[in-house]
Amino acid sequence: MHIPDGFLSPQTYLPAYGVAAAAWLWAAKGLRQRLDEQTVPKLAAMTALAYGLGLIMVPIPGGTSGHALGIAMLALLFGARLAFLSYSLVLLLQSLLFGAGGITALPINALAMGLVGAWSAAAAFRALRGVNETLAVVAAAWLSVMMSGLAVALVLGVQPLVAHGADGTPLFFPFGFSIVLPAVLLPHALIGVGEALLTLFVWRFARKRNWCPA
Amino acid sequence: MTHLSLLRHSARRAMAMPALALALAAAPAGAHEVVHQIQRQQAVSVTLEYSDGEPFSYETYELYANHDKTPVQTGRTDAHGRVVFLPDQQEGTMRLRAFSADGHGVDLRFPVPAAAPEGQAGGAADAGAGLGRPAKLLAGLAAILALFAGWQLFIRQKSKP
Repeated sequence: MHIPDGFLSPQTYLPAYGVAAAAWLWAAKGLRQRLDEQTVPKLAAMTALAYGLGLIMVPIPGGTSGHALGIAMLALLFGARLAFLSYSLVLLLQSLLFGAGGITALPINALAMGLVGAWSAAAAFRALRGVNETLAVVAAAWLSVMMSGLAVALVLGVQPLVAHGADGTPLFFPFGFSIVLPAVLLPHALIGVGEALLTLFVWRFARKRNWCPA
Repeated sequence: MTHLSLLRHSARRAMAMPALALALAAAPAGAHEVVHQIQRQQAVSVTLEYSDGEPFSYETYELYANHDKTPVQTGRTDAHGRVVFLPDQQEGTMRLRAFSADGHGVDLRFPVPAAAPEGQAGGAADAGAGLGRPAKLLAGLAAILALFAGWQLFIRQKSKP
């Protein structure tokens, strides 16, 4: 799901840097109060786990491969703002060290996976927690993957419309919505199941150790 | 000229016209003919694969020479994720863009590899050269832990009376 360099037009990534910068400032506001001495080691461990998970490719039926995100477990344990910040760090390191995701695409990757993913996980969890906690965790994780995938697919799919030559030839990512939406979302529906199981495992582990917010 | 000879002359002209038309038509028809040559040459091969080793196969690519806007080659990677091409120039840069519909791919710029002596393979340029994957993984983990440790020290300093 990491968008590489060269796939996005400057019309996309330059404004995205502005939006992401505002979002990073918003997320960092009051950081000293929210990221206290008890939270730091836990968030460090979960950030390291998310970093590792993003690099483990799992083959998916249909000849492609995917990886878990780990954004849902960060959002459920630490809230959307801390999850967004720590996931942005994960994406930066994956980009610099492994070329997984581009530097120009970093704000889109961070907003799609870090912010949209964290928000959708937190919102789904809040909505369903009263019904059943296990269901809420599973739904939150699956939805975080799907919503992140949807955001990435929409940004990729719009590229032929916003950046093309005089003859209509796409200058950046060449596939439109009709191709990219199913290509991204169908495999991620399956990845989301794995993400849900993993998040549930981590949630139960954290719950036993009283890491979970009330 | 007798009447008979006039008739013969007209008949010859009448026959010459279709013959001329056929001859004219044959020339451009020859230009549309596709001829072929089969040769063994030194090509450059770029192999694309996912980080788990799975080939980036049958995916769309565009290959550009130097900073040209028109690709010198387009197509799909082969079953092994390879793009194979014969560079027209001995030096300069190439740009390879490859995309899968689900958003994976590369946008690579690389110098045209030097031609190898006859019968030898050319040098390989590996994008993963430098630190190995385990070392990069450890470097990333170390960076995360160092950053959070730094934050921990910072808030401890701030909370001291």
